[in-house]
Amino acid sequence: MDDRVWLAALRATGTAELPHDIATAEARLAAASGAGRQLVPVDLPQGPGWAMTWRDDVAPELESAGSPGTPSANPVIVLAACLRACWTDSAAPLYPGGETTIEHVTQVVSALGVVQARRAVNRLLWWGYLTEDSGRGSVRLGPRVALWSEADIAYLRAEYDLLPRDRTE
Amino acid sequence: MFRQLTTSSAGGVWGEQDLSRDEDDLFSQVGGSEEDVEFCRRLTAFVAPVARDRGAVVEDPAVLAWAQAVYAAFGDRDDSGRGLTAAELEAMCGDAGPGTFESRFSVLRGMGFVHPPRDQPHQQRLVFPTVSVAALLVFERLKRGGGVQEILILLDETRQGVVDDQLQSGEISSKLITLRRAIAISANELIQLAGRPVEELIAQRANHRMSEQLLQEARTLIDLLSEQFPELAATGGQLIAQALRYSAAANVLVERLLEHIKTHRDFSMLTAEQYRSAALRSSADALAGVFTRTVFDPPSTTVTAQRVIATMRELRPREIVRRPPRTVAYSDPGDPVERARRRQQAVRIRRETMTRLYLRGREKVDLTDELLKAGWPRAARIVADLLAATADRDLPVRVVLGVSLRVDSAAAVSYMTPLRLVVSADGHQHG
Repeated sequence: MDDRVWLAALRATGTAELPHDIATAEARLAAASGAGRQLVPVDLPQGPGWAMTWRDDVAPELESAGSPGTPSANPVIVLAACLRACWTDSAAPLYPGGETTIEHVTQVVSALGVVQARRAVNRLLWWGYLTEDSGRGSVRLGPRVALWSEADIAYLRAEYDLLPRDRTE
Repeated sequence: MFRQLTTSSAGGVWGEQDLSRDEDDLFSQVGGSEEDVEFCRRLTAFVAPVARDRGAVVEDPAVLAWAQAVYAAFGDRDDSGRGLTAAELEAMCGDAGPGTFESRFSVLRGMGFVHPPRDQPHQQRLVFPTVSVAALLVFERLKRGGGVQEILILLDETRQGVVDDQLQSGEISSKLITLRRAIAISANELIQLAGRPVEELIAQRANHRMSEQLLQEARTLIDLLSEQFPELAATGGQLIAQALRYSAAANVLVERLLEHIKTHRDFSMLTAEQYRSAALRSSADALAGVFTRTVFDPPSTTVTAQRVIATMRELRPREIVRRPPRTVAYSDPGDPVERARRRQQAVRIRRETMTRLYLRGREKVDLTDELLKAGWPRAARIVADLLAATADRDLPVRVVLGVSLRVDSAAAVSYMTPLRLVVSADGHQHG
């Protein structure tokens, strides 16, 4: 596959499996760098892979003009519920984690006053913080979560009890 | 895209802002101290062939302002053509540049930049020769271009000479060789520049903004020569080869600059006005062409781990802190009967003092006016106290109320019965 097409596909899906040969891997790393991106190694459910993010020297500032806005509370609460549901053992790596159902997440966040949880799930799917197994109604953590730093994950681990869970369990 | 943004460059005008100047392109130069250093370097190289020593050129190009001020003074004020005196020049130049007028003027006059009329060497008035105008024009051109413009001028002069039949084959051949050498040197400079850091490339880019024009002019000249001087075909071919080499090197430079801009999303390479000009003057297709190879990400947002935890912390219900009931500090209340007696005694003393103050040793006193002055509700309080004093058997006073009624709708006490305080006959006033 042409490197440019491969990059476009990666931008659409968020993650890609590692190529089998070194030459292809180097070419794709160079292609990503040329586009101002970097490929970060992640453990995908099916094996080792890459997620793509901005190169450090050209990454947009969060506070700068034109930068992506901050999300409302509902998607963040839903993401927190997904984190807890997919990351059942806080001692284990956060990503890729396990699966959870949208029904379960809806039940957890409704106790916190969140209505229209499905809408928030859709936003998180669009932004890449969740991925969905189409037809099964289940979701798992997305590539944007895979790009969180070790320090971020350590912070989440320390505050694990704050993540919402189903009280009936 | 950037080639489509290219517009013609206009010459600078000293001492005035040239508002008609079009926006330039990727090769346009932005002013600054680095450009001054570069200009100074060019000046030094320019003068080197005739300099006495390596320190012949000043290090601060701002001293050119003195010469430009002198030029402006002659151009604007010497309407009579009789010239200007040194005193007039000093008054007109003001503080045009660094240092003093005297020191700079002595250099300018000593080297003939201004001089007395040829036949009147002792004349106080000075004139400005046209060669000095040419010198300033050359310096200005040198400031904007690194020499490629001179090649363009020579190309144009040669072409014009051929069209006007003013040049012989030998002269044309000599000019072609000069041009070839000049273009080869410029191409070499560009090729060397291609391997330099981007910052240096950005600083040097203004020198080579005419590559396409240079190639076009060279082709036009050679096409012209091929008809009239076929014997010069070989020399002309060498010139075209060098012009192509120069153009290719310039294209490499453009590609590298564009790559830098794309990667760093550096929109500062062009000014905001240049983007505006492009938006206004370019066709829709040309503008759309900018994004033909651009892939857009879907709109997104950023959720950090910190944001997740902060949101959940806000949702957590606050813990209800149950405080123990306050302990009542029981103090010794003492004997309640004794306290009541003291309170009663204090009230009696107050009433007795009040009656003594009203009576002031007299047997009786009319308090009607006093009560009117006291207003409401103080009058009622006084009456109540006086009646209570009357009821107290230990106080030898009594109140005598009149039988008439004073009515004053405007007064604070509207209805008032005259009231007198009298020492009772069966007792005496204390004190």
